[in-house]
Amino acid sequence: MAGELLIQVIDIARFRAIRPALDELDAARALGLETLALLREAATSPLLGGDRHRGLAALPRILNHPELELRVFLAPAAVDGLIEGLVHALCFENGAEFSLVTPIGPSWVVLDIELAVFADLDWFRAIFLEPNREASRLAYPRVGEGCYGVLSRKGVARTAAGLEPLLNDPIPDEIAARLKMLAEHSQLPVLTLSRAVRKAAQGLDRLAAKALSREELTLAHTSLL
Amino acid sequence: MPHSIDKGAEQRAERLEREARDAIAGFSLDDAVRLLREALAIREASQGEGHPDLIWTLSLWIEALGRKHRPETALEAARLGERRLALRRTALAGARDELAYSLRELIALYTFEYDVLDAGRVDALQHELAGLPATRDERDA
Repeated sequence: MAGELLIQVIDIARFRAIRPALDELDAARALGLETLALLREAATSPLLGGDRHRGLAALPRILNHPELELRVFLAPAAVDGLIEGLVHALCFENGAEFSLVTPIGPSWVVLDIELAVFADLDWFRAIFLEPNREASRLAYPRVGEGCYGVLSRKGVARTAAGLEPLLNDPIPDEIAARLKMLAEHSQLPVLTLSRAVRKAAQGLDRLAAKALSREELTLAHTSLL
Repeated sequence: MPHSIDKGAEQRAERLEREARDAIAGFSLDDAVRLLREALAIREASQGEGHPDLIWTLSLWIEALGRKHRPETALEAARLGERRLALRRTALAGARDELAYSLRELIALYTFEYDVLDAGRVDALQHELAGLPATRDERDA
């Protein structure tokens, strides 16, 4: 599978707070005391060990040798992986865990075939898909699969409002027509597809409500390559 | 003779390395190699061939070549890896556990898919590795 859209809840205030440390890590020189304190905090995180935090394997090496410049003993990919692991572990709800097997989870939504339906909605396209989308890019991770767009609070509110018709019965005519066409194209029963879209809309609505419930939260999204 | 400090040259090299890092991320690997060749030449001229700052330039270059994933570029990466190891031996003189990681990285550079590109050299590296104290992750295993 590839090309799915992953949407998750991020603590953007926490991201802003650790941004100077991320900049320092990205420069791959010697680390200051505050950055080292952050790394010690991450090293004790109960979330460590998951697939989303592989990059944190370099943490003990750094903490063992705080006197060394990172660029002397770490490869650039290891530095990027470390930053990605830190952002996942410290800024995302549930350590940024998600599953393709369970596409709608407590802190994530993965849009797969449903994306073809969502992509037809103007508000969704503007927020999540178009080059000049309303979300701005998260500064880190800056490379690879882990690049994220983040929504403004206005964008989250617009998402919540845009989802409303999908949550109501009956489903709007233009979406029903799109579902029918897509079902024929993908040789799936229209009811199966319609349920998947409804479930995804409910999951995304839950995430949007969570993000709107606290000032420091918002939604982040990334394409799974 | 020590090299005079040329901050402008170092900044130019830093900029080229940043551009190369972005080029690697965007898979513009030939561009990355071109930028890094230039950065390395600047650093060699301004900081000297034994300066530890050359390690990062070489690491980026090795990464760009690795992403090309071809036997000939793998061998070139291993040659750059030899130079990086020589620099790291000095820079990591007080960190023997990190030297072990560096040896393993070089062994990996000499391995392309299932082929060992220089079996004699890999044996020598493994022999040296066996003589080093175990790293923490090995002890924890």
